[in-house]
Amino acid sequence: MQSIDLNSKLDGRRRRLQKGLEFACKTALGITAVIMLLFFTTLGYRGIGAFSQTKIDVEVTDIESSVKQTINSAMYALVEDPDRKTKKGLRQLVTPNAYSTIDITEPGTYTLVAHTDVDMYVKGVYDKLSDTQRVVVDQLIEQGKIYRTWNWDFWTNSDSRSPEIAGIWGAVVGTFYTIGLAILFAFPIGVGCATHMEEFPKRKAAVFKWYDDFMEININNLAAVPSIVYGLLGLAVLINFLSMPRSASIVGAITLGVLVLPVIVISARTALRTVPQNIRDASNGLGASRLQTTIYQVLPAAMPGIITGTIIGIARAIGESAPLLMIGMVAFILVPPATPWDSATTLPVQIFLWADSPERGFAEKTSAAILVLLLALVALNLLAIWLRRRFEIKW
Amino acid sequence: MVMVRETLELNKSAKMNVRGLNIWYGDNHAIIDADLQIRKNNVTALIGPSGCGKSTFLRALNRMNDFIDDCVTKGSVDIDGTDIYRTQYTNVNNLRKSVGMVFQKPNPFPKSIYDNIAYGPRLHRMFDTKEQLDEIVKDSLKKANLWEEVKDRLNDNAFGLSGGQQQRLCFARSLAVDPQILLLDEPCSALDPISTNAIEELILELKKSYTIVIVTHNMQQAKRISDTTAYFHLGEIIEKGATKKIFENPNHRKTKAYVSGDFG
Repeated sequence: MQSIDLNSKLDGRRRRLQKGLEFACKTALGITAVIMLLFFTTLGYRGIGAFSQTKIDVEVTDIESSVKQTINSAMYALVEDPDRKTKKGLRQLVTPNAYSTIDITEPGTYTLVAHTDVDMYVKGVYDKLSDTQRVVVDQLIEQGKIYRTWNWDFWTNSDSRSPEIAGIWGAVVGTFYTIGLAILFAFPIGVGCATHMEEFPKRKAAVFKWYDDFMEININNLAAVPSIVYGLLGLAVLINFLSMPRSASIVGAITLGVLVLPVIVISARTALRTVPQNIRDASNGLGASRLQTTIYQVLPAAMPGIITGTIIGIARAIGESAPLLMIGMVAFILVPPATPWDSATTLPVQIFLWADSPERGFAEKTSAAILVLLLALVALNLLAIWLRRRFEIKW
Repeated sequence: MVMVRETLELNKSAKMNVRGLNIWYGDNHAIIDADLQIRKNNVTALIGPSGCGKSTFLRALNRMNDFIDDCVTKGSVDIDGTDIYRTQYTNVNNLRKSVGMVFQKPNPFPKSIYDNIAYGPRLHRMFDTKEQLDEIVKDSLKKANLWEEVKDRLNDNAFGLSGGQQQRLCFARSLAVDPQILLLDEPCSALDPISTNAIEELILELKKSYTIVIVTHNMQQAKRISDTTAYFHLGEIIEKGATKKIFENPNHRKTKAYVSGDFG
């Protein structure tokens, strides 16, 4: 009898194929890793500046008739006998918004936000300062009166024409309204739709069969429709036909709700299908009606899967900007929206707006806002993973 | 004459009376003209090779086949003289409450032991106070011989129990809604011999207060626990009668071949 050969190596062709495939897979993974790394480093490198802000401490000695004049005279005092041109340069070291955002009633030291040109000079991005300005700024930096601090304004302010004080808060509030309402709109409808398709008996009449098939094909295809088409739908139906307010979160919410609806329906159907039949049998066997079985047993058992799917759908909606452009949510938002009926914008649209701005100060804001958006998405996906791990039922 | 009197007596003590039952799955004629009387406080065993329609027959007894889309049922199933297939308006929820069912694989809900038992009583609003519900849960677990094992961990997830315990939990869950008849669909097929033994003892105990119909592949089990046996073959009830008679002296050739282990 011939013994089994366990010692010889794989023959050359097989080994080469195996090695080749292994190498290809590893390369693919490596390329992905490098791309991700590049992406995040670039964003981080370009956006990190936006998280700090340049400030100027000014000594106010004389109170003038207006805050603007008070600040100006405090600035003039930095140089002896400034001429008209120098005065203009000194005035422009402080953000023009300082006049309206700070109240000066008595002498003392006040901290003002520096003009974006000073900010960029301090951060070393570009130098557009005049010679006099540069001398003064260098002096003040040496004296520790111009310095960089943590940029709270980036988090608490809304959009602005001046990059130095522009922030994401308005967009964040808009995003919350839009996404929150989108969930409220899409979740019940999506889950109801999936429940009807999975849990209720197929009707036998030909017309119903046709209708069921039609719905099935539609829902599966809707998930692949380009998002801007949903924007057109929102524009045509919600704004033009139903006369809902332009730029409002509520319109964005319904549009994004329709956008994530198919995702929710598909994931909910999958989750419902993973609930074993014997749970339905057990409940029905105890005399529960079909509805009771669905509500008390099947839906709770499927809920972890449904919620995970919904979060992933929502993560997609948070990153959408195209449909929101169509319904006018590219608004310039100076104050955060108070209600969903007010003009609002969302983070991706804010990024779009900033990326589109000519002022170079917005470049770092753009990268920083992208970082914030990405972190929010990562957090959402982690939440989805955690929920799945924590509540998944092992049948 | 003797025959007639026997039939009459049988009718009198019959809890369920199945007459001319025919079931189709689409074009497949799964049950053909089945007649069977199920006596009160008896264990009736349905035996036969796989795919012969035992489970279909069993599920017809509390209309669980209604959930199967292309299943058509004709004939009558009387419980205490009322036909459960009489109209489509029969209150099937009350029917299934009175005719409980335990399945092949233990199928507890993914909830606590307590909630598993309390589910049925909650559905049917069978209690007014929390204490009454506690009492129902305790009674049901005691009837299922499970109380001693789980009384300290009623709030633990039922999935933490062993297979045999889970199956007894399913018994307790069925008993909690106060049924009259229990349908058991191969309740021991997924269990080890020790758990099987526990379930069999339980069935013999429950027999005193409930009418039991059991589908089983295990002929020794049918022999041990049943009073009456019906032998199914390709959708027909070929032979039925006292278990002892079926096993020791069957009339039909096929029954004999099956119970003696020649095939199946």
